[in-house]
Amino acid sequence: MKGSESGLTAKIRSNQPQVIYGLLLIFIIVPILYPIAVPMAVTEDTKKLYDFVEKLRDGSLVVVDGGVTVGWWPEMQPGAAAISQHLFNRPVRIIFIAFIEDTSILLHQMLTGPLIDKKGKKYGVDYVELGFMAGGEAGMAAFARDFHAVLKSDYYGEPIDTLPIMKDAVNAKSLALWIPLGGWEVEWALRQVGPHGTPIGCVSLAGNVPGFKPFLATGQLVGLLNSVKGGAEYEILMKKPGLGAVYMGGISLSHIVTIALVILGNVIYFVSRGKVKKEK
Amino acid sequence: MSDVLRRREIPVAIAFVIGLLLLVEYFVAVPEMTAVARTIQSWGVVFAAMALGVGALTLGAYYYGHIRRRTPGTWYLCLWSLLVMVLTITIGVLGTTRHPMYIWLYSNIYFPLSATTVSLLGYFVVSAAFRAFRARNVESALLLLTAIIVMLANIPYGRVIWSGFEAVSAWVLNVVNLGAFRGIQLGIAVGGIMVGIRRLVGR
Amino acid sequence: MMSTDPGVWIAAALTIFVWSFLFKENIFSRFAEFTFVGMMTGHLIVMGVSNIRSYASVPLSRGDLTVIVPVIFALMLYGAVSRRYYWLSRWPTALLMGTATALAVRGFLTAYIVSQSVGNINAARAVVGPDIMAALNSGIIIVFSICTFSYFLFTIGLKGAATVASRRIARLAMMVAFGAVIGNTVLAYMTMVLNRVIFLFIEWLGLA
Repeated sequence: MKGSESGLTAKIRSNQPQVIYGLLLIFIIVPILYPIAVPMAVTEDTKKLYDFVEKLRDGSLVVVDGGVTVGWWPEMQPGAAAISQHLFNRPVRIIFIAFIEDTSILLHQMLTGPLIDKKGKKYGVDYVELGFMAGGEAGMAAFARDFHAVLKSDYYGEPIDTLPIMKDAVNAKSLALWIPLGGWEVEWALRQVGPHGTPIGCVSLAGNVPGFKPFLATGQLVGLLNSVKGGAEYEILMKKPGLGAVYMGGISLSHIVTIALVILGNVIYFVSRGKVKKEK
Repeated sequence: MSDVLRRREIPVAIAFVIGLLLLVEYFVAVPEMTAVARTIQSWGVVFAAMALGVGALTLGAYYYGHIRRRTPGTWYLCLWSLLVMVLTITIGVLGTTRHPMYIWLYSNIYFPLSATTVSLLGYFVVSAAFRAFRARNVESALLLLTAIIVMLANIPYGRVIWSGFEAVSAWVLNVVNLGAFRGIQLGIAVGGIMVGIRRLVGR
Repeated sequence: MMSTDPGVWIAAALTIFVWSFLFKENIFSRFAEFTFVGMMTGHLIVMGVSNIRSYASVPLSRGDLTVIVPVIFALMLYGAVSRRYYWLSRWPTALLMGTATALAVRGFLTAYIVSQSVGNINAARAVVGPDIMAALNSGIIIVFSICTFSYFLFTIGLKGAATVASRRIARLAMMVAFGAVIGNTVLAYMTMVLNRVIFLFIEWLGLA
């Protein structure tokens, strides 16, 4: 028995990473199969963005600017869907555009899928998809300066001059709000759109959120959704639980596992360091 | 003549003139300068669109090298990758990205591969949490403590453990973190400007 | 109920292939990796071509000949793949670099330096304001931001007690900031794992 226990321990020790991966997988699967609902609070940054959208004047123009590669889209999707739905609920006009190659298709799939109810809004009049525009930050700067100078057609290949919504949409100054999704996209918007005086509210990748706090403090950002958590909070404010709520329910145990492993790792480290010192 | 055109000073001069024009035009409103700047910015978008092909050509050349040399364990995968690339380009260019076949490829191959590749980071961070995150000194202990507080504040279960996590995390993020990142952003900005000016003058 | 969509099965197989890398690199994970690279590069070309259609070929077909200049310049970029004509690619690269650098410098000046400095001035006003908590918090923000900025700006000849203290404060503040980044990043990574788990267990296997 003692021999088999030490054999098992030795096996666990030699496959330590895989044991940890397995643990993570279990603690992510369990809440999916047996969900437990726990209430969530709404943070101030999410509330600010919600209130800003809620107070937009009728007929305002808003840009939703998709800016993540496809791999990071699951993190953005709940927030992007929630805020897009809010915009469709309000009597505002929406322009969807992407400055990163992957996002135009993702935005299109989101808009034509079951997540968004367009509330009878008409394409070309109340909202438009402009597709992908190359150039990254330089492309965004050119677009913000003059929408019609570079961009000639929408996602479907229709000339934008024929779309009624684009008649009032001249440059960034025509906008009531610019909503970048992502990390780099938000920084580009702060540098290239903000100086035009356009308010910016973002759905940010989680790792970038601490870095955007100074911009929230100065008012350069009017609000911020912290990736999937912000998306879940926005769903609470919209009173329409969706993907965000599902994700938040699922990832909570994984965070506990991570914290437990950090503490365990440090306990083992300090105990073994104490033993080494004693032996000396 | 071609020796003159090959001189490195010409691209440096181009970058300097364009950069200076765009910088001056931002602060001084001269209609002619604004019109030229607008044109140059529009050109940049066309360049960026056409530049996307350079990467594909370079990758294709790299794969072709492996296929030609029959590099063991790699050449058939390179051939497969080239085939996938050609298939994607053919369907996307002939049928556009709205074609059902392209959407199928995008949704059932590109998206799962991309999302799963990023998801590997989740496993790696948990493994690193156990093996590498050590509170060896005051600074690393502070880093770990902050990370734990923020993690607990981010999840609904954190409130169940202690209702104060959210308030503490909010203070940490909106005061301490804000101050630190303000300094970091200022440093990035100053560094970015200095590097930019050096680049524009060709150093 | 298990999915009968072949696309879902292919996506599930590719997901498992990539995850098999967690145990050991193997032929399946390499197959998935090369498929990904091929598709990603193909997709970039497709998006590039669609942009070229919009910005170059459509205006050209409508008689707008001014587009010829950037098209010729952009074609020079392809000189980069040739040893003999490599020098051709330097010109459009220089134009791109000049544009991008100028735009970044402009953006840094207004959005970062000016705005954040104004932020610190407003914080200084709050320090002398009536609210004690706001004054304390603003004081912390100002001290940490100045110390952190000095940490990056002044890097040589540092001996005085005040400088040493400033660098220590900056390091501690940055550790808190990076801890916040790590704490938040875990949220992102776990979301990605969860997304794949939901796909496998619900969409593919139909277990919930």
